[in-house]
Amino acid sequence: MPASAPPRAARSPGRAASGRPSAARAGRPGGPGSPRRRPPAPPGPDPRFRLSVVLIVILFVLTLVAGKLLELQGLNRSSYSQMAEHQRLHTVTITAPRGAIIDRNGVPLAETVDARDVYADPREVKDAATAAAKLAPLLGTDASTLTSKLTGNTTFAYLARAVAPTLATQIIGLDLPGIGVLPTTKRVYPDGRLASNLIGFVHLDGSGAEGLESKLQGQLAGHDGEQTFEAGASGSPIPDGRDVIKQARPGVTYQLTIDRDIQWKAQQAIAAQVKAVHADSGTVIVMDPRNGRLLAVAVAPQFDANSPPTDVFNRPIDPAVSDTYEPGSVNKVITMSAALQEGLVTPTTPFTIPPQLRYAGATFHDAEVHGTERLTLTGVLAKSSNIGTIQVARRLGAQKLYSYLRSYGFGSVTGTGLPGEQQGLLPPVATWSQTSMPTIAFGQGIGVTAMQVASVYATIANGGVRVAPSIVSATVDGNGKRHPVAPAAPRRVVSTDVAHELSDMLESVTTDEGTAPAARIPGYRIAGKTGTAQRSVNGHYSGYTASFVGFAPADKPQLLVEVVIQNPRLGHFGGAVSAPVFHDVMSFALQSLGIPPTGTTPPKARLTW
Amino acid sequence: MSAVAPARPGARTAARVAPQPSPQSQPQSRPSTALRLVAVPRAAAARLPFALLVAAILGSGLVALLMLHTFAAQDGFTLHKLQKQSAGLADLEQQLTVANQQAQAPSSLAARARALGMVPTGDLRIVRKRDGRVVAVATAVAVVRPAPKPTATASAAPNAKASSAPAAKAATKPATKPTAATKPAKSRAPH
Repeated sequence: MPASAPPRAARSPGRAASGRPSAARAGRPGGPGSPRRRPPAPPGPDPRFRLSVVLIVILFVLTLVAGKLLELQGLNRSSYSQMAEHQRLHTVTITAPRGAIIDRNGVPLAETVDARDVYADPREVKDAATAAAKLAPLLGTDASTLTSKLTGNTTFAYLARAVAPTLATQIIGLDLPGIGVLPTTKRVYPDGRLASNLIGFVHLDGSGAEGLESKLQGQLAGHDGEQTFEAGASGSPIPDGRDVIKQARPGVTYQLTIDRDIQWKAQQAIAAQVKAVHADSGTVIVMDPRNGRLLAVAVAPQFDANSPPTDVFNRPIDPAVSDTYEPGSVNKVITMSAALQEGLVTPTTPFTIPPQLRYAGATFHDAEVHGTERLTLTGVLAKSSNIGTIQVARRLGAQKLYSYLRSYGFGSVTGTGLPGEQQGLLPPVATWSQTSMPTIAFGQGIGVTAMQVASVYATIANGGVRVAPSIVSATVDGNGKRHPVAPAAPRRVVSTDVAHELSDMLESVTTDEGTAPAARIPGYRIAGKTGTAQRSVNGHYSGYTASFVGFAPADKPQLLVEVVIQNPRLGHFGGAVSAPVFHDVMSFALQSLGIPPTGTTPPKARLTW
Repeated sequence: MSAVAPARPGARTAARVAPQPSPQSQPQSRPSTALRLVAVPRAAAARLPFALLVAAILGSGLVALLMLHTFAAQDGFTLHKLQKQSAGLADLEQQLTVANQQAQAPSSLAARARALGMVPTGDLRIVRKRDGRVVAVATAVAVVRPAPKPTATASAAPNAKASSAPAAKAATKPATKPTAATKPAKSRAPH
């Protein structure tokens, strides 16, 4: 034994090292009698016991691990995997782009662009005053307003809605705690005042609020899609991760019949004249009489669709179709055309016009005091004689007059599809009183919209065939495919011959002897009619409605312009107040569309006999 | 076993012998036995390179996999970055497009034209090419100044194509013939 001890120590220094202390320990209590003996097993725990303890500990730990594993993978498996999925999976809505509204040349009148909402979480804002000072110049708002929003007792507050993305990038660049941006969209009207009476505007959430935006909401909006993808902590997608995209269905784009430039000119002209004659309001309608397409529908006053006034909901935004008024003398053309169509008169039929006329117990006058006049039917129209018109209407009879008024579209909506369109007021013939027939014959006692009157003259310009006015020329679906909208089905109201006779008669209105020489455009043949009507306000007459409606070239009509000015205080005759606007808009539109004069000479009309 | 069986009576001896066989004695004592320990394969020496090769293949495979993943992740990051950049540029483009459209709007064009001293055209003078007849006469523009060209608004220009020659002729002398006959009663003041 003693011989084996040194080699062992030498062979395994580790063991020797571990053995040494035990030897020392054993040596100390052991007497001199046992120095050569191998020290007995230390009095500590038995190695097997130690093994068992370690084993038990390991088993215990393993059990815990297994238990946890069981819990994670077995018992709460679905909830944990759901939590994990929630962490990884991100679902973002793909907003369907709202359809644009474009003019007849494709110029956008309303379109949707990307934008950002800027918000704050006031709990996370560190230094509200500094943050507000930094944000105020960028957002263009007051620093104190911002400070109060940043210190509010909420967890979320909008600081600005629908700002430009580049501005949002600048704001993110400031790296302010508690300030963030959210993607959104913004409806932009490149020219906010252009055709806003037609287009309307949208709510803050982007849905249509007024006008065509509201009326066509269902088609303009489209259907949102969504994308579900797995992303890492940074938010960037995990390569090869799940990525499911449900594409958005873009909204339908509407192409209107409106011509941006003519619309602008019409708005300019009517706004200037409404101001100049101190009128309440005004309307201009420009139409292609051949197909009923509206090239401009201008009203004054006009609002800015980019920042609609708060009171805009209190009144209809498009008086051209929603404002009902008594048409006055422009209505005489219906009486005349009915009598011509029925073969009761010809353009040269002589009429003797007394200074005043008693009919059914009432006395009727003309607009200007005159002695007894000898006028042809053309003269009656050119000079806009009420008395002459009553004489024509007497030959015609109430029933016939009523049916022609209906036939021209009075008492029913014109079919533009514009929201808020009124059908006007045309009482059934059975309810007419004795004086109804003469007054309606020259345009008092019925209510019409400017669009209805435009349609009457478009019918005459179009050779007696009525085509309902329309505002939408085509739709463009999400794939960019264009679907043209056909004009409404034409309907004959009077014969071509009668329409041409009427057109010639209307041309005499713009001669020096007529009521509207101011409507003349040198070189072009212009047919038209003035209207100076008393306005019915809350059941009694107050003020006037001055109007002029005409078309050019008279022998080959391609454009129709109607001007209606409500309650002018400086002057009130249609020929003085509205005809100059007609002249400006018509000449601009003729130039703009490149419509040349026909070069023919107007027939020499006989107004007297 | 053959050695054990006859020694049954002296079990003790047998028992003593049995546990004793040493590795050295066994082959000598039973050289002719069918059971023989298989010799250690000579290939033992060649094992190491093979193991290294396998390890290297596995290792390189792992590294390659890691690289692939890294690159994929890196591509992912690059993609993300570029998409962000693209989105930013798209935003900018959209913003500039809108600004352009706003500048093109008739009202702002008209305002800028006025600022440049331009005035709206009166009636156009249109000359028929066929016989050189004047079919429409231009009225004088209110302002007489060396104004640039006819004050064509954006709309008038493209549409004047059909009659561009007459229009140009008309433009040369718009202010020279303010005759009473061609001047329409444009007075806005109501009589």
